[in-house]
Amino acid sequence: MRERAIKAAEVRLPAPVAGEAILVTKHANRVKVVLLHPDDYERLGRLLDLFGEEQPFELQLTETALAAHRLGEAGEDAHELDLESLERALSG
Amino acid sequence: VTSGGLRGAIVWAVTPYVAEAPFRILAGTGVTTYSSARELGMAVRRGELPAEQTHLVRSKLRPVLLLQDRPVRTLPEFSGLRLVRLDALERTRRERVRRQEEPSLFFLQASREHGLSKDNAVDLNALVRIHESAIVGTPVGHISESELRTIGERLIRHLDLDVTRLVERRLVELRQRLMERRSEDPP
Repeated sequence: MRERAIKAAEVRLPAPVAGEAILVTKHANRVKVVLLHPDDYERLGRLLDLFGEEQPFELQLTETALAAHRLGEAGEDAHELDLESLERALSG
Repeated sequence: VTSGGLRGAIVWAVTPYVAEAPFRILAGTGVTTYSSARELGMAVRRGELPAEQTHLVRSKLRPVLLLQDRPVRTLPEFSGLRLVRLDALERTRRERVRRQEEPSLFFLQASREHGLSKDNAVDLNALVRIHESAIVGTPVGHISESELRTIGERLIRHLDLDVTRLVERRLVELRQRLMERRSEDPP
């Protein structure tokens, strides 16, 4: 979650206590702003770390993983067939 | 149970490559090539090509790790992961795989247990579907339940599957069970 800091002297806000969320509503009780106690905000950050949105795993692939995968996709990963293993499948 | 079933079994199977452009399609006695999926789609729209086509797609006989059992055999297809040989990899990369330092490549040492006489790795990026009729003979080996669990956990990450709610529900269930147990036990 991105953060934007505002100096306390520049705004007049009610001070939430721990375990309480203050909902600032506008038209038809639509929630415009939610104020949290810093302890609760920290807990929210920890939960986001645990359950937050993951980046696509493709971004974490290593060069080795990509090299092996490309070799497999092209059928060029093996110099020769593992005939001993194939024989085992056929004789089972 | 991985010892006798097909979940966790290593089999030799006819494994097709992924269809990709240019698409070579059998049409009558010849082969027609379409340079892109869009071009193929337009040919279908124009009625020049049926929606179902016979493609020329390469396939290879290779070992595959099966991820599922089909105890009642209602589904003839299996999800599996293709095995990749390490022969063509640079030595340093091969060593990284052997030391299990690559999350996308689960190293399988050549052994009787795995039924392989060459070192392989399970490629977590190579999910395949295998029809039972494409499996050659019987499984050559099995991986352990613990190895299969590790691969399953990694696969969730590789497929970008969101299991948040599943984990949350499981945690709530466990918490509920713990609380019930505590209320049953005398203080």
